[in-house]
Amino acid sequence: MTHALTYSAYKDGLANGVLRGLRCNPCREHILPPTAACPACGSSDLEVMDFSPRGRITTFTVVRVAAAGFQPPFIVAMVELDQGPWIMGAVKGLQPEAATMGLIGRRVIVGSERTAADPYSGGEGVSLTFELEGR
Amino acid sequence: MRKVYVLGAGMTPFGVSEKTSMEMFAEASLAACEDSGLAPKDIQALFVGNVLGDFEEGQINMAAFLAAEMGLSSEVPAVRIENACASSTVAIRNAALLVASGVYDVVLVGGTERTTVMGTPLATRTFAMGSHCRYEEPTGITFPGIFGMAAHLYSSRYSIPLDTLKRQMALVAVKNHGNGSKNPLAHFRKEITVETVLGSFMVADPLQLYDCCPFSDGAAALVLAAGARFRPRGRKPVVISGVGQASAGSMCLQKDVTRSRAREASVRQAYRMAGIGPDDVDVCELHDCFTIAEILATEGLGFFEFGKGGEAVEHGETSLKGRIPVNPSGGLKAKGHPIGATGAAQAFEIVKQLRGECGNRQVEGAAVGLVDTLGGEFGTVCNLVFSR
Repeated sequence: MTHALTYSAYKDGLANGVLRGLRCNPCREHILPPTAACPACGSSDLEVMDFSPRGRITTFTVVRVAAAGFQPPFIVAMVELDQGPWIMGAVKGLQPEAATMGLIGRRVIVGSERTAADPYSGGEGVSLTFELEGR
Repeated sequence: MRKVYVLGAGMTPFGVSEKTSMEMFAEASLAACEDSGLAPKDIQALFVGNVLGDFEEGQINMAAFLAAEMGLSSEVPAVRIENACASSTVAIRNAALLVASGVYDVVLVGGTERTTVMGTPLATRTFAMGSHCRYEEPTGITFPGIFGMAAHLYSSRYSIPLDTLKRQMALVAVKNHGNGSKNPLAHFRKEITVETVLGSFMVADPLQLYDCCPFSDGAAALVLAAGARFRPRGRKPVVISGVGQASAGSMCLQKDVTRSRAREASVRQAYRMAGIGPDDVDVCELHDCFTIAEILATEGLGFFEFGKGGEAVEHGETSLKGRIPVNPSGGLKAKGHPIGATGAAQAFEIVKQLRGECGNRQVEGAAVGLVDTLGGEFGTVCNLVFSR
């Protein structure tokens, strides 16, 4: 068995502006982040597809005490994509003071940014970013 | 399966320690051996929960060094177990099952951690390693951030105004600090008020400093045994009557973490094995790494309806004299959270409670106790039922 969508291929997709995910052929579950087998039914008969980069914020926080290598404060949120999966990313273009409960339910457009390597990160990474719709 | 007795329990003070992780583990373990009436040479296997020894002191393969440090026989297999903050609970579950099944008659099991030597930036970075390293960590999410998101989700899902929830969360901290003030081994032994919590600085919205457990150092250990040679003497013998452990993927894959499927599955296993339900539990040590985490846990373990855990705190149902006393030790919040040692310290408290040795924080007549430990972002949950 091989991974239908490796981390490397997922990252390459984002670099080209495409949010790649998986669809389970037997049960039709949409999967992101990618896995080797379907979290819903366990099948490894998975197919790569391009996901719509749109969804709504389900929850958020403002990180004010950060890990080494990060500059606080910044907003991190979970977004439920229109196709179902939940993803984690950083909310851009919004001041931390504006991050109130009213953010929950707001629609966003998903993008990405490269993140710097540190000694423990296995090289450079990629983080999803969320921009509020209608701004 | 044989009946597994807890013959001995030992624990170091929690807080900031000048001792190394291995020195602390040896101290807790030798105290547990002394408490059991057995000698280190009686130990047949060693299991050590430890999460970040590599980052803290540059130590891997700690278990083997510890076996030698404590004078165990060279025939003893020594294993370090890592499941984030649930490491030593998982170690106890594995040790108990190996004793129950007859592989060993006597094992030494516990955990140790010295988080404070890392300093806050590196500690925060390494704790964040409990999130998914490819799909979550690069966002800069921290552990307080994970539970901050859980708190906002909880407020939204159950339509509880954030101000109301924050007050309920503050009451968790007030209760656990009150309990911790009665525990001579606790990291923090001072009482606080709701105003202390709500006046402290914001760490990760909506969690303020006093919603968060501290970084701590410490170790705890148990001696477990079964078989004709190792019947406990005197005192009310404490047994491990049920164990459970379950797993989940990244927070993204779990979606709504206000209900942890891993916790619900794990505690179901433990209750079934012990032949009990949540109403039979007299005292519980659960994973209050953040105040919201205690509220979530009390619901997931079946003590309260989903969405009602905050109200239960307001009504004092989880206080020492309440319907189900939660975290009489002070919990992670006040007793401290040396992550690899946390589960073993929860077990230590329950053993002491069932023996009636807890002084002014004693839950009167406690006969059945539950341990609940969470590893990572709800990825591992491990539960232990103790009874006498």
